[in-house]
Amino acid sequence: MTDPWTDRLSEYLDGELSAREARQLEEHLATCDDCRSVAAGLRAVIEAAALLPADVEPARDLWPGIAAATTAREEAPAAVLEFNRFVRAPAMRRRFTFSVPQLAAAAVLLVAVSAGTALWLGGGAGGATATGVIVQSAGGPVNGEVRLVSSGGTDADVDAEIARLEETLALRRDALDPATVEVLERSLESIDSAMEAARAALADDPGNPLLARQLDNTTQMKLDMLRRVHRVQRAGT
Amino acid sequence: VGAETLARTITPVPELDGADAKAAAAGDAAAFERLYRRHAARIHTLCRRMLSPEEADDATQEVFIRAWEKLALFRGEAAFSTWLHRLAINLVLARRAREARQRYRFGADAEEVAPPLARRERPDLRMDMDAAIGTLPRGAREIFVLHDVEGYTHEEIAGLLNVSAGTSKSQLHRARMTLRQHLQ
Repeated sequence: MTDPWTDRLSEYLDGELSAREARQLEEHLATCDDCRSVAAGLRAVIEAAALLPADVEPARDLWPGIAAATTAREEAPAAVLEFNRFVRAPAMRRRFTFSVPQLAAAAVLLVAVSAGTALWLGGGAGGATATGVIVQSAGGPVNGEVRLVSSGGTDADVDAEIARLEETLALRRDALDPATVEVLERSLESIDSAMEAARAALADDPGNPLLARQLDNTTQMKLDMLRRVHRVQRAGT
Repeated sequence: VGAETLARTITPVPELDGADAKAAAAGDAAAFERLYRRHAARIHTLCRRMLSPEEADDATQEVFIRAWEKLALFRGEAAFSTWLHRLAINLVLARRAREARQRYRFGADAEEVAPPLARRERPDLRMDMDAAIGTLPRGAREIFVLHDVEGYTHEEIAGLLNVSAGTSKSQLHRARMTLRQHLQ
């Protein structure tokens, strides 16, 4: 439509034209059937929009997912924060104390874990896993670390690395200062609780991308924390 | 009638909101759930219209999770519903911007246009207004929903979308012209 008044009809209906322009447009409408028809159609659209319901309940209850995610977001970062503060404390290095036999045992264990990790990453780093989550090597196969890249939350490789790190930690537990163990265990417990909440919510609502991301993020926090413990322990040796 | 039910009956929603927002900001999850129950439908409807029915659940959850994180910043100067609504609009627009960046990165077309509607096959069918809104191009859809459904002014929309008020007006007119054809 080439009528120049057509493009001003919305402004006219919204009362945004000056009094003079509005009067001119009304004079035009009195003689132009096309513009009158368009104006009636636009008015119908405006009225229909105003009558749309403002609050239609979601088809399902979204609260369980929100509750799980807020719990996870509260607890896991707080746990990581507490742990990080502890690790950065000046006396931290002194708290990681080992006897000579313990150091020897830890070194052997570390080599075994690294070799296992290398073999395991050699077969699957950088590719798509069975669950479709892509795993990257951060530093080559020997000291490589897996990282969650996309959502999914049940990646077997990440779970396997966490299990290995936890096993190593359990074996070295007695070598650690009790204060260190206390903070670490409290932090891990909070993270595990957040992961469990996210898993439970995902079981109720499979495929929810928000919950899957939440579980991934929390899992990654746990992995990072365990790696940090190992790095500190390694530095202590 | 229990005391709580009675209180709900006689206490205006903004006051209930204010008390619950204060409690939720202090970590009271039950108060936050009450806020969710009172406002979920409104936020979900907004997300569905601004985004799509498929994205509405996820976006609504994101809004409430962010609200929980930001509750400490809620000063009570405006109504909680206004604060939450503005937060939802900002998150929806941020989500749209992320999508646009992804489309650009992967070389997809600048704007996805919904497939032709059943109305074209059945001209007698008067289309549902929400379905018709869903066919609008992204920019026109955002402006139409904000202006004609949510009641924002062109100046407010200009600030939210970082466009001029003139652009907002012309996009609104474009959207209405399209919808007029669908609804005829």
